[in-house]
Amino acid sequence: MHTLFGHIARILGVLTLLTALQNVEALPAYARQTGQNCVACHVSFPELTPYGRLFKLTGYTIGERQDVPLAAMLQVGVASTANNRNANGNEISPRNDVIAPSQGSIFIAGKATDNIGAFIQWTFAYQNIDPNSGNVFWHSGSDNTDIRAVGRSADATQTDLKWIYGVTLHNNPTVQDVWNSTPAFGFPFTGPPNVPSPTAATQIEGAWAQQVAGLGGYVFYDKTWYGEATLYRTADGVFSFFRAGNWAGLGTGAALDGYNPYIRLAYNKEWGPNSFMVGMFGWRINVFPDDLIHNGPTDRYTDLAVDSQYQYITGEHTFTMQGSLIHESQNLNATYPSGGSANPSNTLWSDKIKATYYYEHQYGATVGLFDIYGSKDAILYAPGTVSGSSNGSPSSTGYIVELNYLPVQNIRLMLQYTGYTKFNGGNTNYDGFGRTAKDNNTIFLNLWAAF
Amino acid sequence: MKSYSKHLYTAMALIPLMTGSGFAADAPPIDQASAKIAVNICSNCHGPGGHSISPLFPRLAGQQEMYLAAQIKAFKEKARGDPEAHDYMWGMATLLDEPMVAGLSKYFAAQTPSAGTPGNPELIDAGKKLFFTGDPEKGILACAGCHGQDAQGNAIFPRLAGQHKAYLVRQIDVIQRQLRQSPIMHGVVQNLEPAQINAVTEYLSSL
Repeated sequence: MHTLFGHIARILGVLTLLTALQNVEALPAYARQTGQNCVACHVSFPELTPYGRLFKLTGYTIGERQDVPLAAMLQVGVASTANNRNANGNEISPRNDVIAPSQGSIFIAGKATDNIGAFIQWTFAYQNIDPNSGNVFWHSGSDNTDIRAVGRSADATQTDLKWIYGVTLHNNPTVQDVWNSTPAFGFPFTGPPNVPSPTAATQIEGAWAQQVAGLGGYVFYDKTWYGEATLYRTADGVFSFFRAGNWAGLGTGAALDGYNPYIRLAYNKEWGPNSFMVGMFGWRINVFPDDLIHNGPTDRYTDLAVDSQYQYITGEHTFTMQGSLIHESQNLNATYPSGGSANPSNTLWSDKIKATYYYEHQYGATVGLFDIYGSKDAILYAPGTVSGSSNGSPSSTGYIVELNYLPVQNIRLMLQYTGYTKFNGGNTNYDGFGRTAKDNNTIFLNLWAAF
Repeated sequence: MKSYSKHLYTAMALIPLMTGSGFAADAPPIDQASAKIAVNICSNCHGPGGHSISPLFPRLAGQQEMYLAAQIKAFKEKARGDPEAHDYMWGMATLLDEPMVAGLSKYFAAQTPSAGTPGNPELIDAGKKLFFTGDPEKGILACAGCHGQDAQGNAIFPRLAGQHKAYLVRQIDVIQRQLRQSPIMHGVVQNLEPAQINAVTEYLSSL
C-alpha cells in the first residue's frame, strides 16, 4: 500500500506540473480548429456528446482549417496485478508496480476542406515485450485512422440539416462509429499494458485494429436514422500505411480474404438534455489463418451485435450508459482440419455494459460489467499458465470500476480497478496451473494528457 | 429605490430609440450565406431554426436581433466570461465576420419563436407575479419593464418567453456570480432567492 501511495504522490506531482504548464488555449487539434473546449464534443475523451457525434459525422470539418493540424497525447501510469508471477515463477508484466509511460501519440487531425477531414494517429508504444529476451522495448506504428469526405443538405425550410452523408476510409472496424457502445472507442477507453486479459474475444473487438482497410459509406437522416455499409480488406499494397509498424509478416497473424462486409444501423433520438440510441452492427469475414499465405481454405466469422446508448448531459451533471451484446458464429473451415481447434464450428458471446457519472465535467466515476461465454473448445482454449483454460471454456466475467479527475479538460487522472469473478472458464485453478481468476485483478493509476 | 427604478426604466426605454431599433424598418431578406451557416453549424447545438432541444443551449428562434448581435460580439471579444460562453462560443464567434454576425442575428430573429413548455401552475402564478411586479422589499425590479409584457424582449433586452428553464436558471446564476457581465442585470438579480428564480423561470419557459 505504501508503494501505491508513493506512486499516487509521484503522479500527482507530474499532474501538477502539467497543469501549471497548461493554459486554456493549449488544446488539441479539433479544439484549436473550432475554438471550442473539449466538453463541447466529449463527455470525457473519447466519449462523444451529441454535438461531438455531428462533428465526426460531418467529417471533422466544422471550424477553421489550421495550418498545423497537429495534436499529441501521452499516457503515464502504474499497474499492479494481484499475482504477477506465472506458474514458472516468471514475471508476467516486467513493469508491474513501476511508473512508466505506456503510450504516446501524435495526431494529424482536422479539416482539409469544407468537405474533407481526418483523424490520423501515430502511436509510440513504450512497453512492448521481446518474446525471446523478455525485455521491454518501444516501437511506433500506425494507430486509429479515419479519413472522411462528406456532404450535407438542408431541409425545405432552410432551418435544419436533413441529410448528412459521407464516405470513410479507416483502419479499425468501428473506429468510424460515433456511439461509444461499439468496440473501438468503447469502455474501457484505456487500460494497463501487458496485464493478463481474457483469451476469448470476438473478431470485431480489436483483433483487426490497424490490420485492415475499410471503405464505407454512410447516411444520417433527420439526425435520427443512421445507416452505414463498409467493406474491409487486408491493409496491404496501397493501404500498407494503415498497418505500418503493426504487421510482423511472420506468418503468425491472419489476413482477410477479399472484401468483407460490415453493416451498421441505428435509431437516434434527442429530447431535452437526453439522447438515446439503439442499433445493430455486424460483419462477416473470411480469414486466412496464415497472414503470408493468401490462398486455400478460410475460417468464416459472423459477428452480429445489438447496442444501445443513453446520455443525460447538463452543465452540472452528466450521466451516460452504453451496452452491447455481440454474438459470433465461427466456422473454422481452415483451422479445424489443420488441428487448430477441437470443433469445426463454435459460438462466442461478448456482453458489456457501463454507466458513468460526471460532476461538472471534472469528477467522474464509471462502473462496467463484462461477460464472455460460448462453446467449449479444448484446443482453442487449451490449458497453459496464465492465459490458458483447464476446461476449454472461453468464459470470463468481471467488472471495471474507474474514478476520474480532470483538473483541466485535456488532462485525465484515472484510477481503474479490473476484477474477475471468472477467467478463461474458471474461478480457481482456471489455467490448470493453480491460478485463480482474482490473481488477475489489476489496479491501474494513469495520467492521460492530450495537447 | 423608487427613484432609482424610475431612472433605470427611463434609461432602458431610451436605448431602442437611440439605436433606431424601435422602428419597423424594411428589413433586407436573409442572405443565403447566413442561412447556410445557421443550418450547417449553428443548428448542431441550437437546433433547427434556433429551436434547440438540449437546455444546455439557448433557443434562438425569435430572439431579438440586436441582443443576438451584441452577444456574438461579446463572444468574439471574449467579454462574456461565463463557462459555457468560453467552452462553446468564443471560438465559434471568432469565425464570423461582421456581415455574418448581422446576417445570423437577422436569421434567428426572423424565425417563429418556440412554443412554451407547460409547467407547475402554482409556480407559474408566483413567477408571473414576480415578473410583473418585482419584489420591492428586496429591490428587485419587475422583469416586464425591460423584457416586455409578453417577455418578448426589446432591442438589447432578450426574449425570455419559451426559453429553456434550465438555461434561464443558469444565466441568472452566472450573472449573480458575475461570471457573465451584464451591468443592468447584476443589480436586478443579485437579491433573487432560489425559490423566486425557480418560479420566474417556470413562468417564462411556459410562455
